[in-house]
Amino acid sequence: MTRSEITTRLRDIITPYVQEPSALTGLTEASELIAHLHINSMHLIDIVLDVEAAFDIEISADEADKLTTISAALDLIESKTSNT
Amino acid sequence: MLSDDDGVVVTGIGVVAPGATGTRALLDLLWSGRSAVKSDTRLSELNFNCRVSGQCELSQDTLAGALSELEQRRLQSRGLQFARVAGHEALCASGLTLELAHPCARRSVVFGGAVPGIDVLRDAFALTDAGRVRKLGSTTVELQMPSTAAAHLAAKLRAGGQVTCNSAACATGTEALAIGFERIRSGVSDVVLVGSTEAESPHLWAAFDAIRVLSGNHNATPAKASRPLSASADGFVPAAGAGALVLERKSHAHARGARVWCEVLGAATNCGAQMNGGSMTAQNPESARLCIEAALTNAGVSPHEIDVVSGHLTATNADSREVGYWAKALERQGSQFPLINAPKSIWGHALTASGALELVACVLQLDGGFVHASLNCEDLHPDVAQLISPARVVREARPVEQLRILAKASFGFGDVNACAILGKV
Repeated sequence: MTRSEITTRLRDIITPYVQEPSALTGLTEASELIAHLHINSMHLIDIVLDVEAAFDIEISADEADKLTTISAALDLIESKTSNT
Repeated sequence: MLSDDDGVVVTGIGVVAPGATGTRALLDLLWSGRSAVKSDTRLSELNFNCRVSGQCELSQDTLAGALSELEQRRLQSRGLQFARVAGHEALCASGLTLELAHPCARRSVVFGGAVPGIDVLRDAFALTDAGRVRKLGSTTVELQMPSTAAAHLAAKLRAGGQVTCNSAACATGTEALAIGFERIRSGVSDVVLVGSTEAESPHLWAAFDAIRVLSGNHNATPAKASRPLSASADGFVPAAGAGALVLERKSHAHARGARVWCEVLGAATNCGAQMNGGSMTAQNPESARLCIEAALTNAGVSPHEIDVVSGHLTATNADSREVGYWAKALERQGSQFPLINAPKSIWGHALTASGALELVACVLQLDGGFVHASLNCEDLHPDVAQLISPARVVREARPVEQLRILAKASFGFGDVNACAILGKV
């Protein structure tokens, strides 16, 4: 799966959790999930579960803690999916 | 005496009841004389003695009107969905401004219930038992918190005052109204959204089937199963739903030109402490009577002014005892007794939601100047017939001229009681 394909799927996953839809228009890899996208921190837990299900991967609690930006999420998903 | 400005009025109502989602549908159901009780195949498959229930219907459109896409996905609990839909209808109907820059300290929410996610928590329990706690996600907390419905609705109302959940078994809905009423009357709040909710779930109803308080003799004829006041009543029909009422200080409602449905004249709650005939499952008769009397005193209404009694009347052997509490408290018997009907005869017993559902039905009757039929009591229980004239039991829905004051009571396990007195405006 290419990074651009992963980005598209990740964007679909986080979209319903973004409280300000306008924040999605300026989405970049540097976007921070909480600071820029205003995602409720409680919902980050759900996003991790959704990502696990969508990409058929397991994400540890330590790994989840580091998922603060879009690029960090892409890096992690890329590394997990390329192993399989 | 209270001045006009000290009064409390109802300025919004919302409901999800078996056979009626929304107040308009409920009004039709109340006039129709139809039963909303249906066969319940899940209960049959699970070997319940009772195989009928009052089930609610929520269309996708209705859900989408009250919950965001994400919430629809996260909140699979029917109890929470019912509360959100009923609350949404009540708040929209109230015409209150819901766009505020800051929470309003004069607004509160008292929305009762039990465990909102009782119908879906088994999934979380299974994950926990399997050692997969991390897979629970964030929703489980909201499914466990009895106050979740109140919290959700507070966010909609921008309520900055007290936001809480009361829980008093089957008296919960009427108790919520009593608490909200007192908050306004004491001067602390101008607006209180009150109500209660209950999910439909075999996991909730099983406990009642086990102690043999559910109907089991009318499984083949669901419309006949809920039989309050009847000699052939054999237990209650489990049901679900939510009712929501916006209570508002009268002067506040008048100042903004709100549509007023009725007035809350008074309310009271008490407990029989499981003494003198009371128990976990039965009322102390004296305390039940005192609760009705306290509500009348609180309302400044004399017993002979009550035009209609909306009973708790579940279709158990407590019905005739309940008629006895009313007869004593109102000091009226035989043909002098007010009109009486049993809302549970239409859709069954929605447990913690019952009081709120039934209060919405009471508001509609006062506003519309009519009484709904008490179904399935052709064979009036002889103990009831000894106390009141059979003609005082409403057999068919009909308009009532001079319908001014209605009394509603709810009695709950734990020997708890709640009573409200509503007046036409």
